[in-house]
Amino acid sequence: MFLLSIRALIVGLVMIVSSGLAVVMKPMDRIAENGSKINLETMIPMRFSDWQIDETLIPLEVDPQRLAVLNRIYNQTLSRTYVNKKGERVMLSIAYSGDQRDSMQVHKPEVCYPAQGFNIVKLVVGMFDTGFGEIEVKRLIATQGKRVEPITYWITIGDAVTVNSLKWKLTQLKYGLTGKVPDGMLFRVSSLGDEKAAYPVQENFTKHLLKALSPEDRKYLIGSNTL
Amino acid sequence: MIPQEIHSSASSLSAGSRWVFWSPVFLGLAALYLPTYFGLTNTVWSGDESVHGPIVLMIILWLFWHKRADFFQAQDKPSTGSGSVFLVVGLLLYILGRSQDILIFEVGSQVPVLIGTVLICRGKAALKPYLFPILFLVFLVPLPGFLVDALTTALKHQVSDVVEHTLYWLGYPIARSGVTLVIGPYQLLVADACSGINSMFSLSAIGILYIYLKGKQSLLHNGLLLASILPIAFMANIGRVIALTLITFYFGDNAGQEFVHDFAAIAEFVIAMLILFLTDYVLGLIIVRRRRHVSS
Repeated sequence: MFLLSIRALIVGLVMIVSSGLAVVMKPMDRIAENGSKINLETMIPMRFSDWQIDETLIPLEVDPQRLAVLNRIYNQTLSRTYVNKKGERVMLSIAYSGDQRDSMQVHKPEVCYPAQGFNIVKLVVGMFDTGFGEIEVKRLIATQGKRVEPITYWITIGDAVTVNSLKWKLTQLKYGLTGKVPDGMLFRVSSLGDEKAAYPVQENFTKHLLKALSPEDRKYLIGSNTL
Repeated sequence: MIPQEIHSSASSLSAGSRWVFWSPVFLGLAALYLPTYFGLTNTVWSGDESVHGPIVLMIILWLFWHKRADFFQAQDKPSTGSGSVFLVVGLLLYILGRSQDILIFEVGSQVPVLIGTVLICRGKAALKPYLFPILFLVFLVPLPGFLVDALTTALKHQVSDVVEHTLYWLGYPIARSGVTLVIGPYQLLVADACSGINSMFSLSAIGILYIYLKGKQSLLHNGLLLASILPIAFMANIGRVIALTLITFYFGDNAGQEFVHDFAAIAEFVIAMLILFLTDYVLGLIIVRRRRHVSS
């Protein structure tokens, strides 16, 4: 009698070949390591147009509970508040990661604000004119007691900008299948007050900030495939 | 093509030679999924919230062992065609999932891979006793992040809302802002873990296992029992959050944390299981009585 079945042998062999294929196909080439090193602190100017840093208002920091996870996820974060001559304030928060895998997904405001007792009262996807083309952004309004905070944010992955998590995953897959690991960034601006007043201020702030950057640095923030 | 006579003796092998027969498959499975499980223990399974993963794995291994007699005695009639389709689809899912970090595909691929393997090596009759344990592997698949985030947020609000209303109705000084509850002098944050999404997932797994192990019952009985799992899990979680809120109210901020928090999670699970057993018992009484009515 045959102890070893040819069927079982073939199945086992095909499995081992598959496990090898999965290892070979794993993307290893980190885009972030090929280009110039990024430094958010120096890249984002302290002062541009008529905006400058305001030390009196600190943007919502990450929930301490999540900090450990975040340190693992983000390679760099930046939180600043800017004020202009009219006294309008905008809170800016940027998180950059050189390696965006499924388990390292960026934490979004609609998750991180409610985690700290905020209510999300509105959440819409819309277009945002960066001054260098339109991009898709999410606009939400977070409230806590009397504090009303309209927020605008978007996420970049490699060259693309998207706030849709499925599209995000597909972009990652597009890079991954060619062996590349894309970097990514979460760009968030928010301000306190009524949404009608807040969004134009945020847009004004963002446009001037992007204009003040070099084309190279701008690419990190809004991608290069901007419409 | 593989000649028929070579594998014809698979069902009549002695215990020792069965190991030899299956050894290439075991090796293959180890090459595929040992890295997967190693990855899971370091990531998804490392958090407190997901202890259920290893437990489900143990249960599945036990089910495979438990049903081995039925599996080995089954008639040998390999379905090479359909088996190959399952195996190839499963392995493609695995390769894509493993290389591109898509955990749903990587972990989920076990289902078609195992179905395909059994069909190719043994056939439909042998698949039958192993179908449940293979399908039960679905509970090892980590829910995708965006789904968990959406569900967690929605559930947390529901939980906070129900807790606030219940305690207010009972006359406690409670107020809510978002997912923050204020009771007396204390402020409580309904954290992600309080959403109950993990306990719902674990209870579904255990509930389905319970229904499977109990075996022959009417379709109506099992259907109702199945449908009651999620509501029971939701209510048990509400009960836990209410209990923790009241413990904080009466015994202070520290009491509601740490040990009590962990203990409440275990208590919640046990209580939910007991309610499920009770539901099963009551359903049994009602359905049997109705049957008697019909027959008399």
